[in-house]
Amino acid sequence: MSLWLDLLSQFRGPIGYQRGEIAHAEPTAVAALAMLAWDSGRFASTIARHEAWLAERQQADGSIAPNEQLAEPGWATSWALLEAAARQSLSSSDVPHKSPDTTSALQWLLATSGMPLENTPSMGHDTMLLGWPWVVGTHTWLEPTCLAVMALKAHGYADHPRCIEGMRVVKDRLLPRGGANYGNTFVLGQQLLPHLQPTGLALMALAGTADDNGYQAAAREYLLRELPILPGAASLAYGFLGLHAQRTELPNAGNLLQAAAERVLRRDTSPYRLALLCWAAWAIEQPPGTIWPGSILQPAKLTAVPA
Amino acid sequence: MSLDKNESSNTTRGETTHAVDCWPCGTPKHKPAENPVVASNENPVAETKSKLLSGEAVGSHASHPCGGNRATEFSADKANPEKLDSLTLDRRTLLVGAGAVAVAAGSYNLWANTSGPRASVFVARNQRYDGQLETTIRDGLLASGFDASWVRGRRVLLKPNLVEPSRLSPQMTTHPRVILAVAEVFLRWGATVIVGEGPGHVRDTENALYESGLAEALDDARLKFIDLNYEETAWLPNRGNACKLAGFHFPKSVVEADLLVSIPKMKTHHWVGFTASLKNFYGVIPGIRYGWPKNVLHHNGIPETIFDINASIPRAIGIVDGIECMEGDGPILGTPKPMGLLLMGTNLTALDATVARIMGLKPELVSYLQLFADKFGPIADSRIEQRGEDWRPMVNPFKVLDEPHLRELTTQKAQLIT
Repeated sequence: MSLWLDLLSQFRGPIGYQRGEIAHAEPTAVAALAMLAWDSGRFASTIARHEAWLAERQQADGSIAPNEQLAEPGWATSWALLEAAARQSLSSSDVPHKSPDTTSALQWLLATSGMPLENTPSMGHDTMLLGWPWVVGTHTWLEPTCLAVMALKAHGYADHPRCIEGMRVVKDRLLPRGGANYGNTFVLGQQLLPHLQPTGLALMALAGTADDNGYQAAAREYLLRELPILPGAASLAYGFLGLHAQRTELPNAGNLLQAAAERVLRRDTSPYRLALLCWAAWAIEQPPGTIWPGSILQPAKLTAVPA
Repeated sequence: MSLDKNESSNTTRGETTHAVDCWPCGTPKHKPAENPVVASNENPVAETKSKLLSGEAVGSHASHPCGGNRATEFSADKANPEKLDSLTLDRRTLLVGAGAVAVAAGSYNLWANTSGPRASVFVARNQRYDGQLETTIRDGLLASGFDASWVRGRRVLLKPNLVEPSRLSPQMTTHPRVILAVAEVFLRWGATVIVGEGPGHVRDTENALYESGLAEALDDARLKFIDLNYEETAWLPNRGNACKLAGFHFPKSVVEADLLVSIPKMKTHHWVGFTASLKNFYGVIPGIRYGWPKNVLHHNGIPETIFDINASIPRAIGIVDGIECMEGDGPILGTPKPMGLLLMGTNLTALDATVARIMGLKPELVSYLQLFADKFGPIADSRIEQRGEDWRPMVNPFKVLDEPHLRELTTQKAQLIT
């Protein structure tokens, strides 16, 4: 436990994907989530700094910019919303500080969608579904849709038509052989390869929904098969979180996370990767199904996603 | 040139000291030698190559005790990226940006204005990953007219293809041995060398490095790797204007490079026919701004954005890994195609046209090559000077998906598959 707390205590301000590089919204929100999870009181002032930095990134339309350099794209808005929901549910911070305005952020998220494309035989997924894009004006992809679905659920919008449709997108993008990639299933008749990180995120987003076609089970089997090989830290963390969200035990998870952290520390000391590992390491200690700090996105009864 | 330990001990190791920067902080672990001709027993690239060939484990690079708190000076485009005159840029960024624009503009016009109607391409056969790749690459670049003295003290960014690495499909990505060999050539020529890539389909670049086999090789060779998907960026105007984008956000390492070296894998591509040195530069576009996949580019036209990216980046050359290639449903799901080739040249249009011919494709019908033809270089065989092997005996048609948009690109000998 001390390893993870020691790592988190080094994040005194907003962090980036690489040490020494500029700060980004996604790593900063993830680090704040990890701190909220481990000890919201101990890290209250740091969390406040992270939230204030995220608030400075908020644009007039409510979206959160990815970093200080760029005004868009706004997909990290979902991360800011997830962090805000966790902090609000914990009521942890006594430190007065500025934080992102969640109302306008949610409005932006609900008003944003991917560009539908006419369905063609060459593409295996339903290209007419809206979901969420990485960049406004482009097609729907898996990870931004997963993040948006979780952010909406965390703020009580689980029954909103956009959230329900988002879950349909995630289900539509799962591969029959197990797993998911960036968001293509079949192209020109061939099934594409699965990747660990998006598979983990998909299972996180779909936690608590019915597995009507067995694709979620196939995704879990894919992760259970591949994660022990010790992939990249982000892939391992998301993969573990996806399994844990779906109440599936990853054998030897603690040792795998620690080995991944040691490798990150030895190679590039990426604060983003370390924050993800810290979050996952906290989740190990939680009951099956619980991966989020606070009372957000608690394990729910199984619900079917309307077709 | 050999890379065994005896010979490397007599080589100019002072030249390589630029390349051993600490990953987190960017601080050189070893100061560059004032006299570049300094004998040393230490040749990390050569040692790593030796380990790769022997099957010995690599990757023992220890962490640097710097704490990684390098202050960045590179501020770039704020807020509205499409309006250059609205940006707040510091002096250094302006200088870097202006320089890059000048280089890009120079490279755009170089061929048409000063190189005449011809370009040269070097083809080497019987190449193996455990062979003397450094010798082939060095000789090939020199035979292609590359001025080795120009790179001394300059920044060279090596750009392999790691679009979606899988350890089960090594034919998908540039082999680590080729990347190390190219690095060794430029280090010996006195350049500062870094390796950079922004994988198009995966967000976890660390995992991509493991899957491709590149991570440990780079670590042990102490070559610096830059994740181009997340690095800070600068906006440069679109110099090609084939698509509607006014400009591109490029990673700092790309903008600051004096020379980009495209090191693609020779592969079929199920949308545009094939991918080689020109399309490989999709990977310098940062995912943090354009997504995974870099869908903004797709929506603006694949051929057009390939053209515009190449028109807007600094000076570039290409070295194609054509040893173990991919045919069929490339660039991801295709099957291995052993060819044993290395191809290189200073004119990417001519280089890729030759690659296409060897693959059994008609370069004049490839949509993006049509845009490049006679603007960046020649695609007509009569205007490409062949160095090394003649390409004609090397032709070994790649299997191509039997799709209407691909069928027309193939020669009569090509094998169409479903």
